[in-house]
Amino acid sequence: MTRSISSLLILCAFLAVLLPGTALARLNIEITGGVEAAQPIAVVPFGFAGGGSASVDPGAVIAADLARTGRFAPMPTRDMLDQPTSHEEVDLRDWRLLDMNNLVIGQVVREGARYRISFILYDVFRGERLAGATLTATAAGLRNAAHRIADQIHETLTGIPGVAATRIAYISATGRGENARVTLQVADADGYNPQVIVSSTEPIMSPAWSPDGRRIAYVSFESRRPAIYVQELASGRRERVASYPGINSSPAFSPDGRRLAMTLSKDGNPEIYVLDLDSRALTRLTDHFAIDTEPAWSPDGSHLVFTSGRGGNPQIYRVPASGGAVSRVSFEGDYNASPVYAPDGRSIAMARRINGAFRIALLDVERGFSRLLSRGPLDESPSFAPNSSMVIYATTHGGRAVLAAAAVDGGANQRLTQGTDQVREPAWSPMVQ
Amino acid sequence: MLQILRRDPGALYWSLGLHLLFALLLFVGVRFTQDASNGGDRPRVVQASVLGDPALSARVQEVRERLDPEARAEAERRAAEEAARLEAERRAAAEAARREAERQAAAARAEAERRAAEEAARREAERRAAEEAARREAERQAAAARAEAERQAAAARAEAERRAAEEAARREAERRAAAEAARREAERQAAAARAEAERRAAEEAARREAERRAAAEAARREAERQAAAARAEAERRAAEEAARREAERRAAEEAARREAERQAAAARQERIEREAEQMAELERQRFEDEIAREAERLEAEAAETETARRSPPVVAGGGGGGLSSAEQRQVDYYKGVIGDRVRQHFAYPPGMSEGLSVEFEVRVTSAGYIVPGSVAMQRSSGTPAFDQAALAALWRAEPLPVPSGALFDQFREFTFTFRP
Amino acid sequence: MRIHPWSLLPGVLLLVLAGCSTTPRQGADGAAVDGATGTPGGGAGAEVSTAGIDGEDARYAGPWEDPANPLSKRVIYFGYDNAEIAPEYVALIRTHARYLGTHPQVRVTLEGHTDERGTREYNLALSDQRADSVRRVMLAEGVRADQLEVIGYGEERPASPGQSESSWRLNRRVVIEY
Repeated sequence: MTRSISSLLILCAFLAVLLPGTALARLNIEITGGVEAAQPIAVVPFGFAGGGSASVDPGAVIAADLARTGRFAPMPTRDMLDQPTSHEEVDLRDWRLLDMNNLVIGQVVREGARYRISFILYDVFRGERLAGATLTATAAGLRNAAHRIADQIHETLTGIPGVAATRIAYISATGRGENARVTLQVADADGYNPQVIVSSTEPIMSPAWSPDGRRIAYVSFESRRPAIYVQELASGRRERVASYPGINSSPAFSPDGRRLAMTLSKDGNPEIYVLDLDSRALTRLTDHFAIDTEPAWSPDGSHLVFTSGRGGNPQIYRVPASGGAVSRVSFEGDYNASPVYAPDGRSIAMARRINGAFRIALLDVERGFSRLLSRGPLDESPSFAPNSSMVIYATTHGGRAVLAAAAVDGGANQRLTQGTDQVREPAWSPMVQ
Repeated sequence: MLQILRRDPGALYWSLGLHLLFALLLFVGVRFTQDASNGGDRPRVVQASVLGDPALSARVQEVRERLDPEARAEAERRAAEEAARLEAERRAAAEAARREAERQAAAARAEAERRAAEEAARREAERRAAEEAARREAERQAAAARAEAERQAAAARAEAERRAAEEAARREAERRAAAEAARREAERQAAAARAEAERRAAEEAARREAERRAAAEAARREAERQAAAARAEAERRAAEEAARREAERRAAEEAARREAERQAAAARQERIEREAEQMAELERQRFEDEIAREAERLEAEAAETETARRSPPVVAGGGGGGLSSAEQRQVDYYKGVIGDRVRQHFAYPPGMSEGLSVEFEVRVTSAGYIVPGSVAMQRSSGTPAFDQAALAALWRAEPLPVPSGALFDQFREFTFTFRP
Repeated sequence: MRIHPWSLLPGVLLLVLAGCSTTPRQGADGAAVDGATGTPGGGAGAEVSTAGIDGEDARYAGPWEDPANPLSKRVIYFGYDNAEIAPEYVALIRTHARYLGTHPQVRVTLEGHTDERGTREYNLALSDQRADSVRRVMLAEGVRADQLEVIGYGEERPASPGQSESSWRLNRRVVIEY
């Protein structure tokens, strides 16, 4: 209360300047060594106007998206003293008393079959409006609109693009034996809105996104042998791009989307090849009697990393994209496999065996040290979020295969489950345009 | 040993020479030591002293006869006889002694020769034995080397044969593989060609069908589009009309609302100004009081200084430059306490703050509260969330633990720099 | 820890997979264009399942189905992360090789598998190597190449679903399928 009155002391400041002998020394104090913590933010449930009710509260979706980044701690709605939905209703002093750094309000207005969703983001302590926008969407697009708002808030506050509006592809399996069914699905990054894009009674493996997010390559055993397909998401049209004798596996799109790295054993042994998707020219990159597989491109496309058993046990190696000398990348642990580059190129995630348990390890490319992101015991298939801030991977929980996501900076760690299905091999999409 | 000998034949001669030298030294040495320990064992030397006794008595007789001229002839005769006898005896004795010495010398020579011969024989035997052993060893080694060489040769032959066989097998395999590959390649190409032809035909058919469908579809779509366009146009007009009316209604509402707000704001502003004036007046009075107090304090201090001239004068507006060391310690202490308090509240967002820093200037009241309008961000980190975290830390740290009294003058204005 | 409920599957789409039969290890048809399949609402058909009538489809049981016949032993087990054939299985492979040698019209598929440890794609490669190891022994024993087909299934088809060595041991295998 004193503070609300003392906010009027602004004039005193002028007096303080005017009065001689009062403005004295200026003390410099440097504050370092604070703690990393999720930032308090209030996302008020959005208002709704226009008849009927919205099936989705964008506010709740935004709050969940922000919480999932590990950088924000949204306030529970029950702790809110007031729930303003328009700028006029906002009194930032209330939110300062609640120790919020930021406030998000918004409303949904129904206009026929479409909805207008608008929001405002405030800086509570400086009393400023930091961002605001209006989106339109159909009822089915309300969640997506909320994800986009969450991403705009994330980018405004942190300078880093958000990934709430991205998607995840993964393999889901149910049943065993005769009843086994395997599907390749694509869902929103928060696990909602799953859609089956391939279904089979035979194994499906290794989904991989094209850089434009419009196609997915995968391995299917539907012809009772592994073959690589590239499928267009919008139309469902697909093409079998590799069906050589032996295994055809581990597809990986080059950063320019024009080439597909893969593993083929047509020459008698699993080796890394690059297929030019336009000319269909096939280039062999490795030549070793041990297993070479799981290629992954560097973000600049200059080289690939891959798994090889040439050192006696599986380790990560790199090879120039045009072929050439192979050099070893991983040195810790006796089993390192399924490498994947962070989109910012600064680290490589991989599955590593430590004391018999498989965990996700993150190797700092420049400095050469690595640390563990997951707890095991059977974690694999790491995939980076397109802003490099999180890694999604396959793990087990209660005897079931589930997905989990870990913040790269060691913050949040969460689990994604789907009904009773066995879910595995997640692949995080690129940024959605 | 034998190997050494074989390697360096000269060593054998050196060795033999050394042995001989030692043997010689052994004999010589015996003589030395026996002389030094006990001479009784050597009869030859005893006899030599026996030989000396008659010579002495003869010389005594000779001296005696020389002293007695009478008897000298007799004596000389006797002496001659005696001398002759003695000479004969001496000769005989000497002869005997010589013979004995010769005999003993011969015996010793014989003994020495015998020993030398024995030694030589022994050495010869040893040498022969050594030679024999060396020869045998050499033979054995030669045999072993021959055997090893034969074995290696056999192994090499076997290896070469094996390699040749492998090479042949590999060549054969390669030849077969090549043939197989060629056959497969031919098959594959034929199949590919067939497939390609089929695919092209299928594609052509598909393309024609698609074109036909596309044409039909396009016609249908066009019809739909036109219908839709007509519908849309009608809807658009209706919507526009509705929107216009709605806009008008909203504008009217908005105007009314704005007016209400304006009035409310004006009222609030008036209230705020009133309050501000009151606050300002209070604050001004407080400042004046403080200044008065400060002036009194300074006067008192000045008076003290007058009496004790050595202590440095305290300058109020010196920007810290004129602080006494005790005061400077106090200032440092409070800076530390204030920094700790703000730091406790500084929680920045994870994983994105590396290398960031933000700078705020603030003024505080004597109670440690931030003067509301005084906060100015001098330099942003470029990341709003980080700036906010720093600013929030300042506000949450209220009231700052500033010192009271005169020292507070040093704590009215701050520059806070925040880093992770 | 926040658990995000995933809503139930939408309608399951079944794919019609045209032209699926390739002749593995021999026919190298690099690429082929499939029709538009898996389009929402465009699922052109359903999976066909057939059932035989009881008693009618009796067929000759091969000697490998006779438990008393040595050919009935058709699984070769492997060590962890290893594609080498243990000596105790050489006799088993030779038995089959002799049979295949005297029955050139009979064809077998060598199906390689791994346990669940390790990454899926590495395991796929490993299972291929295991099956290829068996193939090479059979070729050395005189079996004709066109009698043998190799498929690696990786860890996708475990024989035992457990998560312990007792299950893993059974899953690291090559099965000779007649």
